[in-house]
Amino acid sequence: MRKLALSDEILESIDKPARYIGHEINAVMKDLSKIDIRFCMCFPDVYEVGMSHLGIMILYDMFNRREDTWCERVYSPWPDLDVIMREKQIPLFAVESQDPIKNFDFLGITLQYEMCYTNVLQVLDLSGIHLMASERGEDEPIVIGGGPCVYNPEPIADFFDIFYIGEGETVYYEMLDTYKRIKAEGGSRHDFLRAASHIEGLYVPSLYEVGYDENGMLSRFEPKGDAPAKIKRQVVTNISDTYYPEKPIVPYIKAVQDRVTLEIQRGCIRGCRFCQAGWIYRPVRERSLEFLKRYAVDMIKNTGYEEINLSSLSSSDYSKLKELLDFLITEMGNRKVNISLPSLRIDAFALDVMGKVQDVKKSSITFAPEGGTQYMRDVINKGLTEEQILTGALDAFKLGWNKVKLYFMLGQPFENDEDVKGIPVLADKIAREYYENIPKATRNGKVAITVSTSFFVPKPFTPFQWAAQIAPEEYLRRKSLLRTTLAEQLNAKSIKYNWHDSDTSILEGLLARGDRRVGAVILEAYKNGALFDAWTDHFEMKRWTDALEKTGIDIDFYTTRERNVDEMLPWDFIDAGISKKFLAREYERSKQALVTLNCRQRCSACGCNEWNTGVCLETRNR
Amino acid sequence: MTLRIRFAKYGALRFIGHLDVMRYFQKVIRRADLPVRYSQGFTPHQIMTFAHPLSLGVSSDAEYMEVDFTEELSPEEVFERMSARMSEGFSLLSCKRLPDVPEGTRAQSLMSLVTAAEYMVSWKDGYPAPPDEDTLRSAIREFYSKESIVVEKSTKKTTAETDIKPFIYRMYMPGDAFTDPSDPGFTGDKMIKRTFDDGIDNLAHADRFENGRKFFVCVASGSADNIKPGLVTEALCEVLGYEYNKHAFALHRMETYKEEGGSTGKDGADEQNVSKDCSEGEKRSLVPLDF
Repeated sequence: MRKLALSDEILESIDKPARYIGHEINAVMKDLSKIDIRFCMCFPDVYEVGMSHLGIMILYDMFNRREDTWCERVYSPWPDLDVIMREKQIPLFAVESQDPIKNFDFLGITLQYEMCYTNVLQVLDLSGIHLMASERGEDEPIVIGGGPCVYNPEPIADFFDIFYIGEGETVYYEMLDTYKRIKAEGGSRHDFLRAASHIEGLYVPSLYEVGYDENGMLSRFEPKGDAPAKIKRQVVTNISDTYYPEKPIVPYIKAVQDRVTLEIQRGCIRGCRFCQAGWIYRPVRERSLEFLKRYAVDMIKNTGYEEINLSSLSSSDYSKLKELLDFLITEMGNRKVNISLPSLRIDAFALDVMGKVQDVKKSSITFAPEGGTQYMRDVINKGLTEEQILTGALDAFKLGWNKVKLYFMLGQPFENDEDVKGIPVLADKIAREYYENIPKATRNGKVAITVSTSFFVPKPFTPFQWAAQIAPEEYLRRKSLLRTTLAEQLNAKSIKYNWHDSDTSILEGLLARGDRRVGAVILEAYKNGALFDAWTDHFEMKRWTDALEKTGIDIDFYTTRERNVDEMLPWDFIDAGISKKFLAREYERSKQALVTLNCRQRCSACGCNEWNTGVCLETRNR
Repeated sequence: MTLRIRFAKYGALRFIGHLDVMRYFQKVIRRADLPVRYSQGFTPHQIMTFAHPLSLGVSSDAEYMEVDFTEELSPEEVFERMSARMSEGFSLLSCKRLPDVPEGTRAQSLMSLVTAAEYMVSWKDGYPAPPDEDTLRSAIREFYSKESIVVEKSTKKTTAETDIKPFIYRMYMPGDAFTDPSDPGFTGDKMIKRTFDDGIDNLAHADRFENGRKFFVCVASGSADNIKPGLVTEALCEVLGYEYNKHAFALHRMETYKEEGGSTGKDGADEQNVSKDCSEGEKRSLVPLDF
């Protein structure tokens, strides 16, 4: 029997002990005497969240295909265990072997949202790894960051040895080979980091120097020695012939995503101006039908899950969606497996498919107009018209649906009060479609519309990367304006309004576009007790305001200040494929509320065609 | 076709809760690609029931579930195919086909059959030293011969005084000649080794400790009366003058019982729960659920 890192007494005293025992179905166990490299993959949040992440599953499978490498996992201990581990000085351990993380060669941390940064420090701290990369010794693991947040890694640059910029499938093997070679040659940690900096896509922050001018503006970003000046984003160019897990790990406790995930395509053709994912995963690359059919069946067989989720940024844009769904509806139906289809544009086809795979009476239809007026939707380049929304909703009502979810953002650039008011007005129009067109006799009760707003946070590598973020007070004013306007609507009683917290949005803004100086705030907030900041119940603004005060960092400089397009940005050293000129042009077009066509309609020359893959080949061959 | 399956739960998986155990076995059956029966409706679920939830941290060699299949399969085949898809911490022990019930009737639910459960309670190492064997033996004698044993039994909302004595079927130690009053042929050793001739070792998956001190207790379990073995242990510690700490004891469920003559699924019309006061000299005899 395996020995656990935590005693029975501890496991009996904490919430959900299954988070820490490992040994899930399809988890990989290896013989330590037969491997050279120990890699621990970390999702810095609670187990149930981390286990829902596809990226880790892909990399876990990829690493473990190597005979010389054992990849294991670790997640953030929940606060109840966090306290016990500190008190009893129990080092943080990997769930598979239950061995301390400190014994590993690598700790790879995926950074999916900025509000997890204090959890990164928690993981390092509990592992007994120096928080500052510069203080780490030869026997400490190499700490690597990856994921969407590394498109501006500067606020957390001091805590990491390496950042992997882009998609993980490309150069990790090269990095591991380099590590083995340097270790065999008797090289030091520094020797390895220098060698790693020459692998395309790897950024070693300690090999760069930054400087600021007298106004505190970033003025200098230079490699020390021979490190490359630019880091190139990694893109998988053969998406139907690459790593994908046939046997995803099945947790014992229910994960947030309690299902098999099938990534049907990567990237998005749409170019919504607020959406970082829409830019940093360009160009859109579809996986082949054969690939998807094979993995769908294999993954269901190997996990026993009763649901499969088709994942992508915009499923409706997958060109063979109909064929794929025909196959899945038959194949999964026979196996009593449900199909879940998020991010589907509501139209006749979508409703037909949804009617087949969901219980119409219980499920809802979802629209994400993101802006309340046509002007606003043009500003953000969300190619969704009011007519499409109303027609889609009415078609759904006729088929028996009566629940509608609507997602919007408040505080996007160039938003006016009229646009805020437009949100409840649009919701009301949808309600009217229902009451005016569905005869009482055939109605399935009242229509239930839920409007949710989140506050917009400008992100790097989007056309809004220069934009001013709205101050929290202004956020709240717009939220109130929305509420008052909603109350005035005819069908106000059928419309429910949920909004997102504004404190975390402004911090997210600081962490998303900050520079290296912001690292001190994160460290200080962590020392003040900040942890699980992405969890409303655990977040406390005071820990952060105290940290800002102590470090003397002016948050407005990073959030509410509009940048000049000529300004040096902290993330300029990353070559994401999308040219800065193109983004500036898009920013300009958004000011004029000009729509830019999507990649399938016309190539806008964003720069990503250099990879010669996906939609870029389609448009060129046309 | 309904199969009643006995399984063990042990090691790290002692920390998986009851609902997760159910979810685990649903996935095992799917991975084994067995023709399980599903309920009707938009979100069909497998027809699968469990006997008696096990508390978190407790190991067991006597967990039971029943699964309905749409096709006739040999119990051996189901046993093999499921076992091949399981992980360390769960092991199937036996698999038996239940007699079919007449058309239109329903078998008594597995849960309502459960009357009692037998546990091994071991002192873990690393806590204050356990009493020596003789002290423990005489304490158990003294404890068990009491007319009543009143303890505070607390639920989520209330704390109430309860006499647990009527709900203790027997208590004994290894090598004990102690006899169960309701079963003249019973001795502790016989129980411990489970001399029923089916190859099941009901202590196979229990944790062992260096100090070796342990006792056995059979308590009322199920929907009518339910006494946790920890409660008995706590009360016994009072007699012993040993400061009770729940973490100092390892619990292992050895058997789960129904009453002799109780339904095996044939004529389960009466599902009512009669309170099973076992102090009245009228103790009904208990048989393991897999009999």
